[in-house]
Amino acid sequence: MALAARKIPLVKSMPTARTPEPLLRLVQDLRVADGKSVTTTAFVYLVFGALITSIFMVMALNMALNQDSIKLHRLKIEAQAIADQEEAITAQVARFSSPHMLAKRARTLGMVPSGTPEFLDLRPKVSVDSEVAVKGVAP
Amino acid sequence: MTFFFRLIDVQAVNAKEYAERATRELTRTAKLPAPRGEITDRNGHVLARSIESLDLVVDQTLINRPQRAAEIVAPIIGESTSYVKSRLTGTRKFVYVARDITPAQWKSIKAALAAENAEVKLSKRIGGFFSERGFRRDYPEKYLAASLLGFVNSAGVGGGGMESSLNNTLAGKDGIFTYENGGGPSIPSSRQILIPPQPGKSVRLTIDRDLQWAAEDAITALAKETKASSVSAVIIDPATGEILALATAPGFDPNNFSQTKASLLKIPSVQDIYEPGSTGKVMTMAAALEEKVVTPTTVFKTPDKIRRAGKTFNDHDKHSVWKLTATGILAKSSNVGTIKISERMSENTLYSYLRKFGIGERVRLGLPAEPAGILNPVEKWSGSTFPTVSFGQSYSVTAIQATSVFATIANAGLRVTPTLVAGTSDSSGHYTAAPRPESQRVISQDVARQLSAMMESVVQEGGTAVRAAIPGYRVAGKTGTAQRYDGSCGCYRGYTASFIGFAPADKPRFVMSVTVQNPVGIHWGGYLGGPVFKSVISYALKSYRVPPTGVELSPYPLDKKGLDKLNKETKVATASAKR
Repeated sequence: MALAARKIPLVKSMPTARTPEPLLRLVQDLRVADGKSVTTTAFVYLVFGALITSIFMVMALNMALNQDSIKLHRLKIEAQAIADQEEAITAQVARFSSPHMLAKRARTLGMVPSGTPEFLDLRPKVSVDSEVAVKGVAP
Repeated sequence: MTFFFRLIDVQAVNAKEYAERATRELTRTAKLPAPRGEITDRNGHVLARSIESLDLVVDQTLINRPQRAAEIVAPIIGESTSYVKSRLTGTRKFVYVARDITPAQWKSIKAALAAENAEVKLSKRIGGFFSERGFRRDYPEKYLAASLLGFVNSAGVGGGGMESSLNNTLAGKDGIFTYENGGGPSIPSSRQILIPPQPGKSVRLTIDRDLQWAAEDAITALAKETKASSVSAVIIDPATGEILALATAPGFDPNNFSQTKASLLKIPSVQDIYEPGSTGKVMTMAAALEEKVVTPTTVFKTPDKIRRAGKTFNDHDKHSVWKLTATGILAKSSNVGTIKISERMSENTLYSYLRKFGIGERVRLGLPAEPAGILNPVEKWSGSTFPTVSFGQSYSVTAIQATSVFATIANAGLRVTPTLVAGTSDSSGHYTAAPRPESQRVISQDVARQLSAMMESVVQEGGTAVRAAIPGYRVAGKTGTAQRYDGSCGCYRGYTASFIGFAPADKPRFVMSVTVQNPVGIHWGGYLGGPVFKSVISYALKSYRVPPTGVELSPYPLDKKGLDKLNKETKVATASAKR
């Protein structure tokens, strides 16, 4: 750029005759080998192409991100449903394992409360409390 | 040009206002309710807890065909169409249609409405149904310990029992969720601010669920049988003062407390006071033994009536003049004998012992509306008050206070303040035990042992509570049958029948009281309370694997005849030993 700038005259002498003004340029007119000047169309296409590609890429990225976010949202709802289910089952288990329900179920199955236990005092080798037990061990 | 000016207006001139408006319209703030802490028994069994619930809510302004909407929703939530329609009709933007529906019900409602909307034009589509998440209190054991636990009202505040007294501990701190929405749920990946709710602390009670059930089961049957206005049972571990069971019958289901009579919501054993009657005689006996004015074998001439301060005091049954020992007086529950024993002390002495046993002083369990009972100071006593107080009338106690008296005797004379709360746990599970209860010596160990042995005669042949005896175990106790003061008429009407005892008598693990208010028909404390004590304490001894000590009781004689016989046998034994 510095080389190109040096070739442009900094002070222009007043024209003696009315001649067309030369086009001011910062850079030298680009020309291909055969002398034809280079058009900017390709460059514009390139810029637009890059822009559109970028927009599509950003959109794709955004969609991907949102896709994950939506997926996360759906999974949260699913997790909530499972948690609800688990809670309902826990409540059911708590109800079934309550003493009241167990006693009711035991009665249905024909079970009866256990009687007074027999305790054996091993030192004198006789039952300490029950006449029945004493009779049982008597010869 | 118009577009340009509008752009300048929106982006520059009123930019702040528009931004605020957009934020206001886009952003919603929802309250995140904090779950209440759990209430568990001493072994961690859950007695009360908060579970997530869904409430069905409508915006009435969005319901365009209420009749059809009601026809769709009513069968799913189990309500009548007319009721649902009444909830859908109007201009209110937030109306509860049903509380505590299941997630499956909500799913069905959404599916049914979607199916309906698919078949009609856009203008006829039904909208406006929402679900609101919250918590509801669940009592998985239903009736178990209902009066003790209390309930939580629709505002989420404890309305009775432990739920009320421990509300500040159990209640958590609600959270806040700020989110952006597009007229419905939050927009995924939008800006969200979440201040999570802080759950309440969980409370562990000293109650043993299984013992509580055994006690409730037994007293519920007794309440039905006797048609009593209430029956209560209290079980205390005498060494620690921990209340293992606090049962009330008839009970209620706290899951459905709104349909329960107000009278059933109270805790009779803590909130009702009554004159203890003969169970109060143990305090007179304890005072007399401690003051060394009697021994268990001191003999008293005991007629069936006695006149004091212009009033005649009778024994329960008519009888000839008995020559009873102090033990016999307790076993037979003689009012006359007890008056004679009390007369060996001053009024102030008896009063001071009653105070030391905790009469007239609030136990401070932390439950609502807990009275101190009534014990007037000696200065307010009339001439007949002293003899009346000696056999357990003219003062009032709660069942907890009465049980605590027996727990003191069972704990070798050391009174440990009864407690209900074992400790608390925060949401991270860190457990903090409750401070140890205070204790105070009331009578000496020797006197407590003597008195305990005397009380064993109550459940033996010749005593008033043979039905409370448990084969294989030594049981001590005392029956009580007192006239009941009825506040509604301001007169004495009906009876309070009670039995309080402990087992094993020589190494006490459980103290239990059974108090029957206003029974119809038989009203003897030993007859009604004895079998309940026997069945529940037998169960407790088995559950806790408490073996009998195997040490046999050498009973004190009940009368002079028995005392003479014992003295004669002792003389013979001493003489033969010398030989």
